[in-house]
Amino acid sequence: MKFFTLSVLLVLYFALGLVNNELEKEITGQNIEKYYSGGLLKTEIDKVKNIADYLFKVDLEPETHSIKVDEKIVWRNKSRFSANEIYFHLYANAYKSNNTVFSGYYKLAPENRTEFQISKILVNGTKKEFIYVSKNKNYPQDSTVAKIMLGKEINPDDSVIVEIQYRLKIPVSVKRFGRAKGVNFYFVSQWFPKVGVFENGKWICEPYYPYLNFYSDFGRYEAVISVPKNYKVAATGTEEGITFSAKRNIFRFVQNGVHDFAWAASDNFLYRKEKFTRRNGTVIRLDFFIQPGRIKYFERYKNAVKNSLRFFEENIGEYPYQTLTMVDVPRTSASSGMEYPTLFTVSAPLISPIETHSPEKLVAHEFSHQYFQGILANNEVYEAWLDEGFASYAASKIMEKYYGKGLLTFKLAGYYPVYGINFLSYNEIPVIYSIEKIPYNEYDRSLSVYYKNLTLGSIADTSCKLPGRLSYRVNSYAKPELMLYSLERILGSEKMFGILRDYFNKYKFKHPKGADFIRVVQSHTGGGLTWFFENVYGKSALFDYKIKYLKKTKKDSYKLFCERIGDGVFPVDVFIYTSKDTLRKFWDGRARWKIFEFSTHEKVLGAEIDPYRKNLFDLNFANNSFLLSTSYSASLALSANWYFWLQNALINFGGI
Amino acid sequence: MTVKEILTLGARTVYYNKKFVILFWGMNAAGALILTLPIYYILADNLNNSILGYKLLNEYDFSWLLQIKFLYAKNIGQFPYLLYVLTGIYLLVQNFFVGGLIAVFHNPQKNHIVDFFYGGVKYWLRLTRLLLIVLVLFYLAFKLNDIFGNLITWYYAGVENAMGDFLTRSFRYVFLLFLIGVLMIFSDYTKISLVVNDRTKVLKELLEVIKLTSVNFYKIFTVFVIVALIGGLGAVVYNLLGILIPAKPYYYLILLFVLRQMLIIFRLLIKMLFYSTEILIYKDLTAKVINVQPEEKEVIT
Repeated sequence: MKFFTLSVLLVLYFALGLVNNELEKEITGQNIEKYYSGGLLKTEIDKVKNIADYLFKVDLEPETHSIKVDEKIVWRNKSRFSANEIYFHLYANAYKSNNTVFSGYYKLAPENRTEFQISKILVNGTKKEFIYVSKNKNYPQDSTVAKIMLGKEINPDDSVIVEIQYRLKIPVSVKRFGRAKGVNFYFVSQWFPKVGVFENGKWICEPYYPYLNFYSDFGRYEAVISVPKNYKVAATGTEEGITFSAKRNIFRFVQNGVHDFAWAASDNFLYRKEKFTRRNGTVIRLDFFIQPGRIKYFERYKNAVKNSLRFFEENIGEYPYQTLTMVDVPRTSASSGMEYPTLFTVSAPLISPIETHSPEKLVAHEFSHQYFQGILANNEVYEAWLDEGFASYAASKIMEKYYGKGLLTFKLAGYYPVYGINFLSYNEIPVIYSIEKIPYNEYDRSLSVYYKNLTLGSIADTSCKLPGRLSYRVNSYAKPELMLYSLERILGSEKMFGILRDYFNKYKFKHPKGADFIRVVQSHTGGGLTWFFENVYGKSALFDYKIKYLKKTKKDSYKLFCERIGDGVFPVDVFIYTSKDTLRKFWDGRARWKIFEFSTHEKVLGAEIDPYRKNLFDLNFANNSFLLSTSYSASLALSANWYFWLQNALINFGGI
Repeated sequence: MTVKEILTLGARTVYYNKKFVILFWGMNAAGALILTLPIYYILADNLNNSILGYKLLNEYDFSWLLQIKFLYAKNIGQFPYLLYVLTGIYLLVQNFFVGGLIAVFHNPQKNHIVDFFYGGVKYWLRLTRLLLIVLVLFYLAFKLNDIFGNLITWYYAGVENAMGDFLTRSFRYVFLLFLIGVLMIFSDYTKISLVVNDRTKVLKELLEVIKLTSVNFYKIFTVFVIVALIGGLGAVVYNLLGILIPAKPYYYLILLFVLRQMLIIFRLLIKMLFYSTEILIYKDLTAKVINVQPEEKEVIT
């Protein structure tokens, strides 16, 4: 039987391969075999160390909302240590009950539940069983991690073949994996038993956390997916052909040099193909799977993807894969905004002018994950900031470069965007609001999140141990983005991107850690930024530099008193503005205060600490500066606006 | 009376009694000033000695806005309560003015300030009782709106039709505005009924008004919508003129302030127009029909 299955797969492989070459030529206009092998640039193949290769044969059965899977894994021990057991991530079991680590945040209704129904496990042809390992004391019934006792040692450079047969019902999605309601759409991620990472003689294999993703080794993935005739499939990797039969379509996807595989199937996708030409003339195939109601966004989606590709190629490094696939998920699916190797998911609001930067920023963010976590495959469970923080920063830079400043909006009737700010509303009716075009900085969202949680946790803390979602969001998304912005402002854009390029080239197709990135920065700056990482990365220091006063002591002599209120240390420029000139001083920012005494014949107007706002963590930008003469104009002008909004609100209330 | 006659006569009534708008404006300005003072002190504390103040006069800084919300979170967090308390006081004082205004509109010969205040004192208590009932009705309307919203969320959670969701939610929004409009009509006409007929049984009057408005809904609602649209026109004109006023230098803000006060006064005049037209409609609809058929009498020569 096994021989028969393998023979069928082999025949399919060659048959589909022939179809594929023609298909690729049609799309990319190039003979892809010259540049790519297994969906990866040939120039990159030597850099990839494939440890776990996967081969899947999948049947999707929409009638029962389930998949039937034959999985074959070849795991190679590329470490210096022997292993007598193999750990597996069984992340689909996170949806088993409300006793899993995942369900600690996402409560599961019966329709959201599923679990692996494993019928066979063979290790090198011998029957084996999973032994579930619960690492979290609060959730002893969690079964998202399991191990297989091998019975013998797998020595360095040895390999083992694991074959698993199982069925899996695809539940209604509550987050990431699952199907949509009201439309045939299946998003299939974390759907297969996946080998953990054998690192320094021990297995790294964490349970499935509600807001963290995964950590796994690179490998070659191949999947043959059979779906009903009217279904299309989007998946990780390059589509190497389709076989059509009377009732079923069989898609074959291959990808070398990735560490996960996700796919989506639907009878309701609109498919658009595009291409992106690298600077060296090679072509990336772009596959867009879009919901029919959102086809109006196709151009914007396409531009956002191409702008992101261009930005990364110019500033960080080349996208090394043959294909990039974007899946626009239905509104009833909870799988939007997710990233997997060569594939990411997005969605878009019904009404969304381009100035809102939606869906562009989401596209840019999810695309950025192709690099940060896709190619630079950090352990997201331990150091989520290395992908979320970097992706947030990169997406913001993309938006700044190609789209300019976004405009604030608030929504009427849950959908209709109105430019302006809504300060107070009752029952969705704006009470105090201002309708005007107000631009924002791309990092403002991170500032807003940071202000919600200043001190609970630091960027350096282990992500899965952070106490709650807010702490996770602040320390994985917001603070790292602000940190990278501040770093860029200290070093300058050119140096910053030089560092990112170096980091990318050094660690691509590897598992970099936070310390590795810091080492790269230090190597570019001569080790001069230790203070920065100590204060911003290693602890949750608070920053607030203030000018307490600036006064004239005698004719042409002045005294400027600068104060460090927070516990964070950040060296700062101090500018003194006179009627004709700017006097520039520098303060290392370490002492609690610093008095500058200076003389000038010019009229002194005021002084300012950190005039270029390099330290985005400073909690009060207003007290960074001091004017010699008090000015009421700003407070009066802003109060006048507020006064008018209140007058209107009172008239509205007075209508009762 | 035709709609045109109602609007013309209503506008004329407002014109003859325009001096009373100063009272409404004064109350509105004082209320807004009280509510603005805490915000002003926050801004003064943050900006009066900062260079950032000058920058903010010329350009937006959303980062600063986020910071000020964070730095003064406690003070700003208390603001809605202050707003609701002051709105309560505002409504009570407004009841006083509205009582006087309806009394004067009802009896055009008595348009002296003394008559205005006499009416205000006389009808304040009954209008306040009405206000309490109307507040309960508003609460019910918002509750109904909530239930409607929850139903929409529940229904569309499993339906792949964003446009349908949007349209239903928009309808809910419009329906809520309609409900608010209807309740305001009930409230206004009951006030008018209480004053015009000098009655004290508030609930009974409210029920009478509901009957009256439901029978004559078309006419009443048409006038209401037309007056509301005239009010909306004022906002459009304001916005068009507002665009023409440059943002800097900052002393142009004085011009903007004057324009804004003109809009506020206009909105208050529109509020007066609501009452004047409603009084005309009410009196027209409740007028007793006198049989004017001429009777032939024997003439004795």
